[in-house]
Amino acid sequence: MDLGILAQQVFNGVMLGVIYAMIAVGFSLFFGVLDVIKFSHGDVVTVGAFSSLGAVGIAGGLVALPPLLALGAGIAAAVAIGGLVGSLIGRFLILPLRQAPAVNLLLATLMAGTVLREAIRLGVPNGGNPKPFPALLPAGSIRIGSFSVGYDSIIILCAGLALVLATHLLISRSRMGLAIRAVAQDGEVARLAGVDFQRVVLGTFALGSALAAFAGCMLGLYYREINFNMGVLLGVIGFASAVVGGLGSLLGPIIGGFLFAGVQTLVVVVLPFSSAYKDVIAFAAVIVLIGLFPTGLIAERQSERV
Amino acid sequence: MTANLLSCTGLTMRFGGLVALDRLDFTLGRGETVGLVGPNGSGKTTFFNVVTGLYRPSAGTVRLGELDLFAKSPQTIGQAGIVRTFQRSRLMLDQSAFDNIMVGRLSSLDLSLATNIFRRRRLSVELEASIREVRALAHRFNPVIADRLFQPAGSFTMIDRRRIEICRALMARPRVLLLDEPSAGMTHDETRQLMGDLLAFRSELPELAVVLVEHEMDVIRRVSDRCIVLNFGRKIFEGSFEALMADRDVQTAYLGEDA
Amino acid sequence: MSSFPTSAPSLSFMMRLQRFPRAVAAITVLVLLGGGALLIHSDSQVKVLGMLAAFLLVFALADRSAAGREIAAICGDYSRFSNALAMIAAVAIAIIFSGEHYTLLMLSTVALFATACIGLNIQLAFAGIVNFAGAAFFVIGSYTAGVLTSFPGLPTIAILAIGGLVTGALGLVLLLPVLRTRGHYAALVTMAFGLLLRTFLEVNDTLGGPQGMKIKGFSIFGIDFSRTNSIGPWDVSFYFPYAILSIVLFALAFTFASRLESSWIGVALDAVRSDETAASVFGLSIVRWKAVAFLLGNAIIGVAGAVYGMMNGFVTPNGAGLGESLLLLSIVVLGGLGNMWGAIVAAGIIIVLPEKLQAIQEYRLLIFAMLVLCILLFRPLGILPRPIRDFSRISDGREEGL
Repeated sequence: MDLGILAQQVFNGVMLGVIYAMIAVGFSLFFGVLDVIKFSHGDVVTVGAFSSLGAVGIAGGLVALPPLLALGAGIAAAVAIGGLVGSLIGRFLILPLRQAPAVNLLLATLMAGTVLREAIRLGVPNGGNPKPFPALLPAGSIRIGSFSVGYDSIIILCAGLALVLATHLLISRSRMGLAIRAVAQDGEVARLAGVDFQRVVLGTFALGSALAAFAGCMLGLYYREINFNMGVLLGVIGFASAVVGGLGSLLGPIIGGFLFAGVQTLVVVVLPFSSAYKDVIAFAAVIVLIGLFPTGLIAERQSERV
Repeated sequence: MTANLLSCTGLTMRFGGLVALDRLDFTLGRGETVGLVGPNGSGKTTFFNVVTGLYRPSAGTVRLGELDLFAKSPQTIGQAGIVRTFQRSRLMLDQSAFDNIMVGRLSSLDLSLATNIFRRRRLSVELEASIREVRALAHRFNPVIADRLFQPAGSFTMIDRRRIEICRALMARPRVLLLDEPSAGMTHDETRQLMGDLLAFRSELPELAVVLVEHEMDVIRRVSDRCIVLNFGRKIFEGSFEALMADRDVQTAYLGEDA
Repeated sequence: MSSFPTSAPSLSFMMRLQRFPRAVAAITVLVLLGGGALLIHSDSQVKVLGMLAAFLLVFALADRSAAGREIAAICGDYSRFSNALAMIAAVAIAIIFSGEHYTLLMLSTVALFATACIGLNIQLAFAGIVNFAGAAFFVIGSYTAGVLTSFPGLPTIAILAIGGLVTGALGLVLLLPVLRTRGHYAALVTMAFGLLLRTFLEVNDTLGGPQGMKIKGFSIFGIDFSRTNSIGPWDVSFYFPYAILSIVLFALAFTFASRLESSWIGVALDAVRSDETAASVFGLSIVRWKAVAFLLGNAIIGVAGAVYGMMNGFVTPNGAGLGESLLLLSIVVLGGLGNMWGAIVAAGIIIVLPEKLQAIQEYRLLIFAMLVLCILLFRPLGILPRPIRDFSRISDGREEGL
């Protein structure tokens, strides 16, 4: 295979890996603090994407903004609205249903995701069709042989990696991160030690959701197109990555995300005629991995007292 | 005492670097009641979990009579005749008291699809017999349970729920019964009633060997034949209750060095 | 008596109710089923909304009034009678509408989906296994029927049986690795499987690709259901025999699941679901019982899927997606976890209403999702909560149970 095309595929894979990792980290965080799987998370990506599109459109309509400022507005809108939606769902849906049987919560968050998706489809003019996303990053590209990559792609990739790193630093070094880790380890004890349980939980939801919303922005900038359905598959992939990598840890979902993207890329590169099967093989790999490592590659803590 | 029923030698349980049970030797004879005491975290519940197969021991031996039960599954051990109650109540609160009690007997019943779906009349006969047996058993503990046998377990008082748990354990026709802090959370009065229950079924089932974990020393004093004290997973005392109360090591363990 | 009314007029009304229990049960069943049939048959949206309001009123009254609870208790006490009557009434309704394609199609679809939901109930309500691939297994049943019906000479009943077996076995292969782990792993594996299956079927052409495959109709004793236009001198819709078949299938699944629930196996499943630690200490194998429940549930789903495929004449990969599986799970939760009648009621609501209320077509998914959310937040036990198992009723030889 042509080296240039190979490099292109690999770059694509790395980009996807970062996106999956950002979404998977959210799943892992939510599970860590509350033992819940929040299935609306994938659709928060969509919320982020559309929020930034809307903000850019509104801002651009009111005043002629240089593209970078418009981008800033878009990102700010995505992160803010995404984080808000995430914590609202946490406050009004997940916290009240914590004690209910697991399937109720799973179903509830899935339905919440559907509400978000449908709201976008119905609320956005012509929402049922894919919407173009403006090019807001500097144009131009680097060429290495037959491999060319745009500056914008590089910027997006770096931004994603930076954010994942920043999240890791936040969790491991900051006071907020300490509180999150305390609650993740033992909510009861953390409460007794003076941690404001609800604030930490909702803060975690906001953080994870903001990350996912940012990923939505990234997707819009990279693929130049968004649609209301984009979060569905991403949510499942993000969940799968988090589970395979290890729920409750921070490194696990990152590994899982890159693993999933890696399998997809491998299929596309090695079996170019069956690239349509990339999702099939990736999910089959997930099933096999879960079979081999039922508690994830970085094992989930067993917290039940006998 | 007759030949030992349950015997453990050098039983060790390690969780990573933490040694929860440290080369524990434990024997239990037919018909004996042994009181197992010790400060919190001394390994009493860990011992129960290891013996019933919920934890896989790191080293040592566990034998029930001639049977080797080391590292066997909880199902195997349960069917061999070692049964327990739990520190926190593990009942199906939405299901009836009868259903809960029958859980103890289920593994010896005919659980085939054929009987349960198609041979309903035979099932009905089995049901009647079981209802009679459970009613009689429950009645001995508290007639209220027998009267309200088909009410959800969650609708009973806490001490009655404990009794339901004990009935469930007895339905398994155990040879060894492990009781994990049965009086936890009870008032003085309720604890006295519980003691009466224990003494009553001790006398009805003379062959049954019991290990009783308790913090209430009064219960230990009245019910047990012999006492064992654990501290940091190690046995620090074995003997009569009176000797236990006088023992210096025990006092130090509970009250600290300056006792 | 479930409650003691305090005013004299109500007292005598209650006593009159109890004097004629079978009549009370019969009237209740006929009213409910008749209302359901009218709902399915109405073609104006105003009528549909009116029927819906009437139903809501009836359910609210049943819940809150002493008379309502008493009537419900009577139906429960005479469940064998009520269930048999309901089945006869359903068949009668099918006969009444025997010429109407659309009504019968709706009826059959509701019955078949409710049957699949009985399978899901066994997995979820009894054994606590979360299955996010219900629709995938339903579609597997259809595809199996499609493949097998192309072999001439294979009796259709055998096709149904094999469909059930294949679906059950496949499910087991999928689930076995995660049986020892916590619920969300089963959720993930089943979700991944559903996606995997759908994508595979769409991409691969062996089973027809995205267009799907054709399925021959159900035939027995040489009568091909899909070509039946008349029975004797009467003209009937070809959906008519399928409607009868669907009702019969639902009744069989209902009986099976009810007997399973009120048996020792039912207690074992509940024990395994409630507390694996306690169940294993008392000798119950967690893996075995979860596997049994998953197998039985999937087999029922597969058979329902096979009949559905035969009725429609084709199957496409579209029906295997996550959204469809969520639909089935929502029916289960809405109707009441573990309540078989709830499955029919919820299936009726979720399948029929969106078809009838054309004005809200665009919003139906949104409304549906919000409805499920409301149920989960405010009435998590569902419309018809699962009644507590009371073994004393079976052994008494009363007209209880099946």
